[in-house]
Amino acid sequence: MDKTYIRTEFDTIADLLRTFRQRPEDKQTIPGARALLRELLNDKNDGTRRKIMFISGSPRQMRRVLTEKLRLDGIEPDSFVLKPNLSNLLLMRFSAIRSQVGYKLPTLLRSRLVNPQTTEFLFGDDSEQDGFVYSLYADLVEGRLPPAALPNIMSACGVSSREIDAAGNLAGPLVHTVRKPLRARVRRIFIHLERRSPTARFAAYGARVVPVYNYFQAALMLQVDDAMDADAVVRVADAMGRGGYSPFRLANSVQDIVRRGYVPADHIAKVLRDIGEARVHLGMTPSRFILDFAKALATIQLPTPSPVPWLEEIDYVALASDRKYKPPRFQVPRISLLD
Amino acid sequence: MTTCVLDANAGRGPEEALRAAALASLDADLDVDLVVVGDEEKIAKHLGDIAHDAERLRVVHAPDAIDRSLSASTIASNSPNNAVSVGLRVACELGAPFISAGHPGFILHAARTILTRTAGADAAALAAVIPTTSLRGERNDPFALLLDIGACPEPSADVLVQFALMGAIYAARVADNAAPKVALLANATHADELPASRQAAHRALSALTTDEFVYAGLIRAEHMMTGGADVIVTDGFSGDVVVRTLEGIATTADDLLKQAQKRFRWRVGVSMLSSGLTRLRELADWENYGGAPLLGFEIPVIVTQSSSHHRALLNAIRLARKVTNKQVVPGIATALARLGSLGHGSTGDLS
Repeated sequence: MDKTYIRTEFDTIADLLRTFRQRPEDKQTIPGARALLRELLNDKNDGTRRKIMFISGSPRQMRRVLTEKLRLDGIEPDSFVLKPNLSNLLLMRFSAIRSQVGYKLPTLLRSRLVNPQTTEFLFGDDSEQDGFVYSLYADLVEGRLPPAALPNIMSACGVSSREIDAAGNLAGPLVHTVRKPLRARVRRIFIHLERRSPTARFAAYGARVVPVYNYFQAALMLQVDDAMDADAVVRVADAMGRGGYSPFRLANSVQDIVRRGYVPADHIAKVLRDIGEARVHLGMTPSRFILDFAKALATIQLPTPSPVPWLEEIDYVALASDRKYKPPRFQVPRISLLD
Repeated sequence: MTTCVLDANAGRGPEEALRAAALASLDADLDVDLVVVGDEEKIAKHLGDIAHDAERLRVVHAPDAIDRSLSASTIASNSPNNAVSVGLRVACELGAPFISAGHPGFILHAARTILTRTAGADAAALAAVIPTTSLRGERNDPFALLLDIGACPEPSADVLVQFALMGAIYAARVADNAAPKVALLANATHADELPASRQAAHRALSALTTDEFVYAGLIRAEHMMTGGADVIVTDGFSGDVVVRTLEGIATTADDLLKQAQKRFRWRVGVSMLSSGLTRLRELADWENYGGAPLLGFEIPVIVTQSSSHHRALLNAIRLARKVTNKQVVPGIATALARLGSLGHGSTGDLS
């Protein structure tokens, strides 16, 4: 997971300064993120605790604030990697300051060398190149992309030769002679649409990359993947309500993820049944928010599109140029009559 | 937070409507949730390519296209799941405003069939803002309201009085103009030269005691745009003629300006006037006004031109939000109820 856990704005110098000055308790967690993380940390299949690794392009100077914030949220990361931007600046590695591919890919590969058999869920956002980096990493570790292809891809991303060599040295030992099936190592990649970029941007990565507007969509997806159970999904929904979401908006996001072909419509019917069963059979009293949400969900139309396909081959060189999303500047002339 | 229902099948098609909905969904200040009604498959295809906030946007499927060559009743029976009918039903359930760039005749027909008329309103009126040289209200708006512009071609005197009240409430709340001046459009300065129904309306308005507006008497067409009144009441036939004439003038003026580019001296003159001309264009550009409200029903209905681009539709969303937030429909209901209690009740005219 990266900084997508909390609201962090680095778009302007003023945002940067404000972010630096914020205390841990001032940092706002994105609604549902904490609940999702807590539910995800417990592997429902064998009861073991999953590990959590934070990789962030945030500068190292923010470590204290970020770890304290996570601690306040009851989360102890197993590893925490931040970007050495000050070193990069002092060493005049200006491209390294901006580059995400050259930083995150080696970090992920280094972590996998320690735990080569682990399966992962990756969380990023659309403000940088997370979809690209994580998908590239997944194809490398699952043997669909040979390490020899890396230099070409990373050059197309403008990564320095030093970072290309670092990634190549790490990827080599991870090569599997047997090509692993999709989802063998990296089960899903969730991209939080912080910038609300068009979801079609991520179509080229196939079903493994799931753009999400909120963490309830991620929870539904994880339930489809059998990584989260019904109670956990309901708890995440409740957390969304406490985070300020209305049942109407949360229901809209359910329709969205069904419409995009990630979650089947009949799965939502199952979620509704689970809420009903919890109430009737287990004597649990769902919160007012959950009841209103269930009502909103029962009346919303859920389409039945074709599911998003899993892709065996992705042209990363072609995708290298389309990495950072810039929201379009659009201004509609305003007349005071309409304000 | 306001919810607006938007017809995505009409006008220039789903792309323009979806761009408007997408922009509205991304505007945190606007605080609007959108329900977009249309062919779900086409909408889904376009939405993927447009940046939007899916949490604030819902899709309702309405697969039937509207054949504008058919009569309204034929459209309703042949294509019952069209975006207007479905959209109006959804808007009714949600108590939300409905916006469409569709066929105005069919929108009116569907509204009459599906929606409940505001108590005391014998007819619905389509209203439009027209630019004027004088400013009014707290915001110094250079607009007057003209109604009806097509929904009711031959209203009775009572209906014209109801239109006056509806227009006054709308102007008061939307334009922040506390006691607007209301005038009756006439082709004469003396009432006895008018048709009978207009004379009767003039007498009724002159005799009416109300806090909602000040009756300014008769107004001739040439004084409409010089600020003689804030609300101008007329029948739908002449109102439609006025609005289309004004649109034609604006288009002709633009074309004439383009002709002026042909000579260097004229080009210099035009460029010196450019900021003023830009302002004039903005005033005359109907896409800036957010569409025509259809007054007299239980929910706000905003009708935009069929050639609306996303800018017009986004402004229609803004207008719908304002009309809802300013409680225009309940205000009209209260005012009409008071009118009824004063003995200026409905004649049962069902136009």
